[in-house]
This record gives sequence, C-alpha cells and structure tokens, in this order.
Amino acid sequence: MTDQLVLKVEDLKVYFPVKKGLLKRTVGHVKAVDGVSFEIKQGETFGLVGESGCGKTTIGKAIVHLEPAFAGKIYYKEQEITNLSEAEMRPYRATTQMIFQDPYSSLNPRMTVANIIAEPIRFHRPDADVTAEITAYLEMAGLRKECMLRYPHEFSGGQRQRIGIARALACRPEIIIADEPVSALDVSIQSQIINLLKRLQRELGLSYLFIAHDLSVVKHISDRIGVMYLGCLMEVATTKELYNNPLHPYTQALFASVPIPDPRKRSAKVPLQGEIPSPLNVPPGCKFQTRCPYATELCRDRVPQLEQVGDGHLVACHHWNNLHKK
Amino acid sequence: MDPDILLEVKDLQTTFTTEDGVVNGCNGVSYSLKKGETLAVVGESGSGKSVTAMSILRLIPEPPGQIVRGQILFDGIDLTTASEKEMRKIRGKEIAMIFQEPMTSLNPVITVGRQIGESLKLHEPQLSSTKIKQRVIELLDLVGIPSAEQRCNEFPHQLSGGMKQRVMIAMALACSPRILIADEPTSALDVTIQAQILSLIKKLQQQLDMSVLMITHDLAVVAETADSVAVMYSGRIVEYGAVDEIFHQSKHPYLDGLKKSMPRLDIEQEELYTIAGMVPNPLDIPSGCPFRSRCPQEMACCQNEPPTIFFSDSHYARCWLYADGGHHD
Repeated sequence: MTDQLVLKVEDLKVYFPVKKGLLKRTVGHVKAVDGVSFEIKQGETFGLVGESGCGKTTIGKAIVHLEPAFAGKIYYKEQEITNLSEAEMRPYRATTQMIFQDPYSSLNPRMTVANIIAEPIRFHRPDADVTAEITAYLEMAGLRKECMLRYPHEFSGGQRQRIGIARALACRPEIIIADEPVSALDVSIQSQIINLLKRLQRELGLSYLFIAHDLSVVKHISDRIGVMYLGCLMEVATTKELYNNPLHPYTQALFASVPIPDPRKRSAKVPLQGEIPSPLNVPPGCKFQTRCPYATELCRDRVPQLEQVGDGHLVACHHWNNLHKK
Repeated sequence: MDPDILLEVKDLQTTFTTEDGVVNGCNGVSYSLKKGETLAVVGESGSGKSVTAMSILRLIPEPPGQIVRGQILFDGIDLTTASEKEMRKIRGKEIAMIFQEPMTSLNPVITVGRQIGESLKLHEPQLSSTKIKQRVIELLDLVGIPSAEQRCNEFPHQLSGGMKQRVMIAMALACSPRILIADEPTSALDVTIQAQILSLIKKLQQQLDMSVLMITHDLAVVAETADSVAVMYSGRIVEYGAVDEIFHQSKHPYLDGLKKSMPRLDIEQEELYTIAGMVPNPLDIPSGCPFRSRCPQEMACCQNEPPTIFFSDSHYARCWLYADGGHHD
C-alpha cells in the first residue's frame, strides 16, 4: 500500500425521485446515499458493510456512473469524474472495474469465455495480441485456457466468478469495485475466491472497494471499513480498530449479531430489536435512533456528524464518548 | 424404537431421473430426531440436505423424483409408503416446514391472515371463522409482529423480508406441529434480523415443546442453534455427532476443511484455508468416498466404500482414516 490516493468520494448523494399521480410529478426522494465521504489509497482495500438497503451497492454504481450522482464529488486521483460525459468518461472506464454479486446473471450467456474477456481488450487496446492476453488473464484468475471456447452455463458459480474477475482484470484496472463477490458462493468456494482477490491485489497493486454484508468476510479482506446505515456512514476505522474498539452502537450491535461458529461461545441475547426503517420515511435526527438502545432527546433533534475520535477513526454518534467510558 | 425418538430416517435414498441419467439426491441417509431436540443438517449446495427434508414431507415432485429405498418412521407410520390422504393429515399438522425464501413462498394475492388461517381451516374444520381469526392474531402476536390485528389484513408485499419470515413461522406453527423443518430460514435475511429469527425459533421451540430440523449451509448458524449435527456431502452423511463433538472433535477431512475455510470474526487469520476443487458432478460421483478427489489425505483404500466409525454413542464419521486397516501414506 502506498500513500497515493486513487479514489476519493466527497459528500456523495444519490437520490431517486419518487413519482406519483397522472403527471408523474416528483413528490419526494429516496435518499439512497446521503452525504458519504471516503478515500481509497493505492493498494488498499476499503470495505463497506451494512444491511440490505443501506446504499452500499448504490455507492459502487455511482462511482462507475451506473447511477447519476445527485450531489457531491468523485475523484479518480486528481481528476474529478463526477459529471463527465460518456465520451469524457471513456479513458477512466478501464481504471475502475466492477465484479458483480451474481455470477449467474452477470455474464452474457451467448458469448464464449474468450469473447467475454476479449471485449474489453479490443475496446481499450485495439493493438493488443488478444489471444495471448486472454490466456494470461484466465490464468491469473485461476482458470485453464481450455475454458476459452466454452459458454458460461458450463461453469459452476465459483468458476463463473473467476471469469468475471478475468474480465475485470482485462481492462488493467487500478480500482476494482467488488459488490458482494462471494455471497452467492458455497463456503469452500468462497475462501478460494477471497484468497484469489488477495493474491491479485498483492501482485498487481490493485485497490478494492469491497462491498459486502458478511462482516467476517469484510474483516478478512479489508484494511479499513466503513459501516453504513440508511445511506450514511456511521463509523469508519481501520479493520483492527473497528473490531477491537467499535464505538457506534450500530457497529456494536452488528458485530454482536454475527453468529460465532463455536457452540461454546453461544449467546442467548438478541442484540438489536426492530428493523431498518423505510428509506422513504427516514427518522429525523440520527437515523439509527429508532433502534438505538441509548437514544436520547438530542438524537431525535440533531443529526450527528462524523467526527474524528482517534487516528483515522471516525464516528457519527452524539454519545460515543459516554458509551465508550461505560 | 427409543421412546424419545420422534422421527427416524433410515437408509433413505431419493433419486431424480434426468435426461443425462439418474442422480442421487440423497443416498443412504439415516438420522433420528428426538423430542424437543434441534438437529441441524449442514452441507453445501447440492449436498442433498433439502432433498431429505422434502422426502420427509413427501414434497419431492414425482416424477422425476422418487424415494427408492429406506424408511421414514413417524408415529409408527412409514411416511415413504403412506397414502396421500395420510400425508395430508401430517403436513402442517404434525410436521410443518418453513421455506428458505419468504419472498417467494407466500401467495402475493392473498392476505397473510388468510394464508395463516388456511391450515387451521383444513386441520380443524370445527373451528368457526371468528375463532380462526382470533387464533391467527394470537399467532402473529406470538411471532412478534406488532399491531397483529391490522397486519393480518395486509398482503405479503406490504411486509419486509424479516416480517415475511415471521409470517411463514406463524403459518408453520398454526396447528402446533410436533416437528418444525426449517430449510435455510435465515439465509435471505440480514444479520441483525437473522439473530432475531433464530432466537424466535428457539423461544417457540421451548414454549411449544417442538423438535426442530434445521437445514442450513452456515456452520455458524449450526453452532448457535443445534443439539446434534449431520454433515452432508454429495448426498451422504459424512459425519454425525453432538454439536460440541462436531465443532471440537471433528474427524472427517471435509468437515475439518470446511471449518478452516470460514473467515471468522472471533479469531485472527492470515490466509484462508481452501478445499481444492469442487463438489463432484452428481451424475459422476467417484466410487467409494465422494470426497476423495478433494481430500488432502486420500489413500488407495478410499476407492472403496468408507466404513462408519463410531467415536462415541452419538458421534460417527464415514472415513477410511479411522478404520483399522487405514493408514497414512
């Protein structure tokens, strides 16, 4: 890991309009991402965790312009790329690639593996020796070159995910946005893919934005982690700091909810009651106040801002200091 | 039969006839479920864990599926040969099931109240519709759905995933079954909701004195809920034991590998362990031990059917490593 920033997101907002009535007038917004800032250094893995509907996938999509940003800025190195047109964006497309969650629907079933991987090569580097490159990227992703002429349906989930990884690598990216890359896979296959992603990072100096809901997976792969709830970052810290010293009540509850694969460590208590509120009807003040066991009047009135509480440790909670002392 | 045993599956084999040949969904599976106990059946996709559960309720589509061998004993009846009429009395009344995907398992055009009341109407026809309504509201209360009276008139799309799963549980519990089969009840849910649902199942199990057959791919869920565990691979049970034996004295190399390859929250790990290769194609399962092609300790004798070795009354593994004749190369 170096100190050079490759990706910076500043106060990003992604809103979806809610339309109603005959004239489809916009009556409100779903604030899927509501003011998120973070940065990723070269060779670093930044993990985003949170429950479904918290906006983590939308952030990934906004970075590669699959969703338009409503406000805020996205930088690739020094260059701002937030509002670039399709044509202006093209040179930056190769630098940031995505790996998708579902290996069954993210590969075109009518294209051979060779064509799937050749497409980005032909597009970005028309002069390249395509066949040689395909072989090289397949090998990097742990597939044999005999796979080339086969179709996606002939492969298992884990192998398909490897094809998706080879396709992303074929663009020679610097940043890979991995959106739940292992959640559709079996445990024994999951560890193969995680190890592959880690190896590729070491060898190619890639930076990852790793989006997942599984805290154990995120912990294993990330250098730093951001915890999201209803479109906002609640806590950001290095992995070690976050796991040893979680300060936000939501982070604490999230960790306590994860079942531990050891019957001797069974716990009977349920750490968090209630459910995530509808994003159409976000509670005022702190978004977590409806489920937070420590919520006070202050939490209902004022939105807590992310504040620096230690070296690189940010938390958005009015009471972190008091909770910490307890 | 041990009087404590409620359900006994003996040497069950269920096959599916496909265009490419006959596939064993499960092959020679035996387990027993005691009163009040939670038995977890754990395995990866395609290991046959759901097929066994579906066989118990005879929900295997026939054809292409067929139970070709074995017995499923419940209350002195062999469910494999029971008539459809007998089965209908058992399904929902004696043995109920919660399915994996609460999103697709509920009928979208019928209110949840009516869906929950349906099995009451079938199994207890003497109940009046006001009684049924009352009971439905009690059930929704029981599974922790707030403002139950209003909720029972809502449609599934008005509920969140966690709430739908609670409705599924209420539906399963409507006739106070003796056995609850939970097929991946929390895999589609968020971790905070998962914790709520697992604790709800546990609470209801004690309250209603049910036995639970928990089918899951997640070893952590097993550790959290089970009393006994059956580990399945390629349609067979490879190891069986009390939960502590499975997690602290595991024997089979597959189970060992599975445990080591999990990323864990409670301990530090550098590189994750990986089990090489993939689950064998069900049309082409290797002879002898189905795990041998991926096993780091494969021996020549693994080509033959592995013996069942007992380590305690409750704990066995099917592996040549522990046979007298077996030795390391």
